Amino acid sequence: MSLTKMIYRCTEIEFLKISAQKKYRVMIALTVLLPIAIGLLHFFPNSVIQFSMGNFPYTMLSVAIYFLIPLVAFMMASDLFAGEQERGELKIMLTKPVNRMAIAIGKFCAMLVYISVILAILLILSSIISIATAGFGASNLFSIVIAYCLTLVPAMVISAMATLIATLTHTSTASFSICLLSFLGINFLGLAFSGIAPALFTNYLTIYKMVIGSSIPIIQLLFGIGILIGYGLIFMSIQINVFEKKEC
Amino acid sequence: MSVVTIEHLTKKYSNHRGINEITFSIDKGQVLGLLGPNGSGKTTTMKLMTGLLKPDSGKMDLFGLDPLEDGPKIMAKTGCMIEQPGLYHYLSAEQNLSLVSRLYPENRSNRVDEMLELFELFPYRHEKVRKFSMGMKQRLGFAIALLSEPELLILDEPTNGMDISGTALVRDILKKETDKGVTILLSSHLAHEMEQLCTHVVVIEEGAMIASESVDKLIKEYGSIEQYYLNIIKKGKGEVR
Repeated sequence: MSLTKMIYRCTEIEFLKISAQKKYRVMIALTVLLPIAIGLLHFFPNSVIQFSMGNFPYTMLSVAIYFLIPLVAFMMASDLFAGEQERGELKIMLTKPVNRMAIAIGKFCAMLVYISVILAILLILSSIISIATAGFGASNLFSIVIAYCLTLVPAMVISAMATLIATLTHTSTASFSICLLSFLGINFLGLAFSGIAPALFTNYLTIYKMVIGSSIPIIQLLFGIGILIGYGLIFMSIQINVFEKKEC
Repeated sequence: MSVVTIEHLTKKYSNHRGINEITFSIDKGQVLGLLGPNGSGKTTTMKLMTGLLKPDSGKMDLFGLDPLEDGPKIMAKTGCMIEQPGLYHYLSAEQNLSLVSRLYPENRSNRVDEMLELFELFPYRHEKVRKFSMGMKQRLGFAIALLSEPELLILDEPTNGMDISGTALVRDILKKETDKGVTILLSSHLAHEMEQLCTHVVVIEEGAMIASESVDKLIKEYGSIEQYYLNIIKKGKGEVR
C-alpha cells in the first residue's frame, strides 16, 4: 500500500472512530447550540456581552479560535494518542500493515476534518442568524467564508501542538492538562512580553482579521501564515519522529 | 525453512527487567510455545517481534525481513494478540472487525461475518464490546488476529479468561490453522495447554532462555511438559539444552 493510500485509510478509520463516540457527537450538538445561545444574549436587555449582529460570524470565529477549537483539539489529541495508549487501543493499528507515519498523519487529518465540521457549522449558523437579524447587506459573506477557511491554519497549529504533547504523555488526563497549560502559558508569554509576541503562533490566532477590512495587508498576512505553517511543520515533524520511536 | 529467527535478543526496562540474549527459530508450520511464569519475558519477546518495542541488541528475522525496517510488510502476513486483546470498547464486535479489515492492502471485509460465526460471536455482533465478558473479548481479539488469513500467528496467552468451551473452541481453531500450515508462536504459563497445541517449547525464566525442546521428545523423556518444566527449573537457570 502506498503512503498516500495508508494515510487516506487511517484518516477514514480515525474519523469513523471519532464519529462513533458519544462525546464527539455531543460536542457537535453543543456547537450547534453555541451560536444560538450567544445570539439570544444579544436580545437580552442589559446583557453583559454586547456585539453587532452584522459581525456575529466574526464574533463566533473569535470564540471558536480562542476556546472551542483548542478545547476540541486538546480533547481529541489526548484521546487519540495518549488515551489510546492508556487503554491499549494504540497497538491495534501499530500491529497492522500500516506504517507509523501514516497512523500519526491519519489521526491528525481526522482531527482537522472534525474541526472543519465544527467551523462549517458555526459559519452556517452564525451567518443565518446574522442575516436574519441584521439583514443581507450587513456583512460580506465572501469575506466571512475566507475568514473561516483561513482559521483552519491556526487550528492546524493548535492541533499539531496538541498531538505532540499527547504523544509525549502517557495518560489522556495528563495530556489534556499539559495542552491547556501550554496554550495558556504561550498566550500569557505573548501578553507579558510584547517583544516576543510576533514570534509566537498565538499572536496569529485571529489572522482572519486581516482579510476583513477593505484593504488586505498582503505582506503581513503572508508573514503570519508563514509563521503558523512553520510552527505547524515543526510540531508535526517532532511528533512523527517521537511517535515512530514510541514503545507500547 | 525458518519463518522466524531470533538471535541474542535483549531488551532491558528501566527497572532492569526484560529479556536477555533470547535465541530461537520457528520453522514453517511449527507451533512454538513460550513457557514461563508471569513476568518472565514472554510478552516482551512478542512485543519486540511485532515492533511494539525496540530491542537494545540482537537480531530478528521474520519472513526474511527485519521488523524494525519492514514492519508493515511483516504485519501483512502476521496476526497477533498481545497482552489483553486490543479492542475499541465503544464499537460493536462487527465494527471492530470491519474497521481493522480496512487496514489490509486487500480489503478483508468479506471475512468479517465468517470470523464472527467461527468465534461464535455472530449473535452479539451489534453489541458494544464494553459489554462483553473477558472470554468474549479474547475471542474477538483472536478473530481480529485471524481476519487477514495470516501465515504467522503470535498469540500471548490466547485462552486467558476463557471458560471451558471457549478454550476448547480456540484450541480447535488453532489446530485447524496448524493443519493449513500456519506457523504459530504462543505463550502460556499453563503446561497442559502447551502440550495439546505445541510442537516445540522454549522455557523462559526471569528474562533468560533456559531450555528449548521438541514436545514429542520431552514427553518421551519426562512424561509431560509440566514435569519437564519443573525439572528444568530445579536444574537451575542458564542450562540451555
